[in-house]
Amino acid sequence: MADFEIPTIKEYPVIPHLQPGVSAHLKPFVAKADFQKSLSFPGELVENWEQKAVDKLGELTGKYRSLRVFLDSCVKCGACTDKCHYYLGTTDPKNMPVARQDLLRQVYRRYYTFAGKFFGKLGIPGFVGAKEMNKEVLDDWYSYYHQCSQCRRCSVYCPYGIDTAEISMAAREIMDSVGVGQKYCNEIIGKVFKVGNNLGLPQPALEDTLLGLEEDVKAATGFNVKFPLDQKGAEVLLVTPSADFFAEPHVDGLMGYAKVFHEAGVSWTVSSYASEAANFGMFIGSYENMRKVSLRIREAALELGVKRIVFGECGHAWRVAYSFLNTLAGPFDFLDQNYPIPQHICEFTYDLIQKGAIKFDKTANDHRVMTYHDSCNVARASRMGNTPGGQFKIPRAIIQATCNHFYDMPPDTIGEATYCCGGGGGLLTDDLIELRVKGALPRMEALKQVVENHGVTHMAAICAICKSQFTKVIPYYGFTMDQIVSVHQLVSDAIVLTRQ
Amino acid sequence: MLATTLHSTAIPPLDEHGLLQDPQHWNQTVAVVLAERLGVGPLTNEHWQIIHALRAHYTRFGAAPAMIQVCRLHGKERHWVHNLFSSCLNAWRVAGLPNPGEEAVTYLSGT
Repeated sequence: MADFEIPTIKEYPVIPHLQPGVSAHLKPFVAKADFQKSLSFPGELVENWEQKAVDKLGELTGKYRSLRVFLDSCVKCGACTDKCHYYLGTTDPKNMPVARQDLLRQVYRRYYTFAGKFFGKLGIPGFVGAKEMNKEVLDDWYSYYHQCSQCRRCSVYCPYGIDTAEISMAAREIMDSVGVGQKYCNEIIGKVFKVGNNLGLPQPALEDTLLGLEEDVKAATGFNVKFPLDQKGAEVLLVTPSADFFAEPHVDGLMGYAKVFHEAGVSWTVSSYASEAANFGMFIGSYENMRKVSLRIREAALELGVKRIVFGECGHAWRVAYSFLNTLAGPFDFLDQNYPIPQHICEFTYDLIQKGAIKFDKTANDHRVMTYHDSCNVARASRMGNTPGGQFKIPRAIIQATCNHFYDMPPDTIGEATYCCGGGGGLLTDDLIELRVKGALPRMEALKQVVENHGVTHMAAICAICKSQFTKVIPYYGFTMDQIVSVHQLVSDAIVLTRQ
Repeated sequence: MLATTLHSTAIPPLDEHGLLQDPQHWNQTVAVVLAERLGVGPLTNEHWQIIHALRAHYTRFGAAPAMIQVCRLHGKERHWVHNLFSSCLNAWRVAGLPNPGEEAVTYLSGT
């Protein structure tokens, strides 16, 4: 099944013995010149790149105070060392968060601290953990900063709150700035600029899919549930990952959103221009590209004259939406201020459940014994509702309103301690399948526990990447792809439709 | 052994995802050889139904379709394409269609 060793699930999770360099060969394809240029990056490694990379690092530490604090403040306490799913899955010590950070920190020390400059001039920078910028360092960066899914689990355990994700984003931005970009992310961002979504689905293809879904729902339920596209004057603009128009189980979630809007009597539309919630600009640490992608949502909302923006099930999109959208593309003073701007589809559905405005027949999900995977960016970089921890409570409340059988995985693997699916942060590409399979190990161990102890049959998620990653990798661990479901797929299957 | 040699020479150049670099090189023989290489097949009528559906969709829209729609339009269950080709990406490869982009490759590969 694979040309690499698939980790075995042990009875209890163990901290593995170190195998230095064992995952040094894992790296994604490099972006071709054309894709680099469409994102305003150099097409190939520039002349004098060592100095330019050092200068860019200086620019970033000057611009982002947080980055400088993270690079300055590590005391090597070791609290983070066993917290990364990629370390646990690969056993490579450079996947320990502190070691990953040090790949950038050593260069920062060499050029931006007194001790590094002093001992660097004496020719012994290593004496103070500093290192010259050279090809060996760049190769290490390319490999190991693409073995970080920017999930931020390590930052929860760091006494200083050092955020490896931010360091990893900075490293990727520096690499892009000297002409070394990652093919998967950069080509996809270009696709958004050109077509409007990551999957490259043009307006007629979207229209065809949405009409097909209307027919599906009509055939299954007898109700005329609409899936509107580019409808001016709709109340809600739904911004959802384009995977929701394309893949399973994502598309089952989209059917759930549509049924909820239908039953609530709220008019809604998808925009072909902003047919993507994902924003890979964040993964590559590029503020400019993240802003350009975000502005499409603003333009679509203005063009269509909507009053509200609701985001579909997508983890990092919700981080960008919840935490950054207002400063990236605001102010949204033209939207209805009585609702959260933007709102998550789970908040939307949960509100209706609280009001008793939608009803469910839970027995429709009786063939499923559920668990729930908290997606990293939702768990650790955003919130839902108006109480702390809402991002954990609300999705679970929806599952429990639609299903009779629900069991959580072990507490140190969910909530703010949740493990990444293994495919986040711009790593969801087959070039990195070995890393993806290995990085899924801690989640697979947790899943196995509830399968064995409670007879869990399905795991729900609210992130397009998580769903796709699990669908692909869980067969390596003896599960089957349709054991992964969308939260709104459960809603879709249990909702009682009453309005024609 | 002879058959392997013939097959390897019969396949036009592929890209890093195993997709035809130039879709103009596709014909039914290429499809048969590609399928064999991928461990799919021998190609049955149902495989060909899918190949034709994907090619027709691509010609019309310039993009890959949602596979559950392909299944539904043929009155089949939702894993029809996956089960016949092991992955939807294999179906796309055998159909000789161009690289649909990084994200589409990922999602076709995952289903």
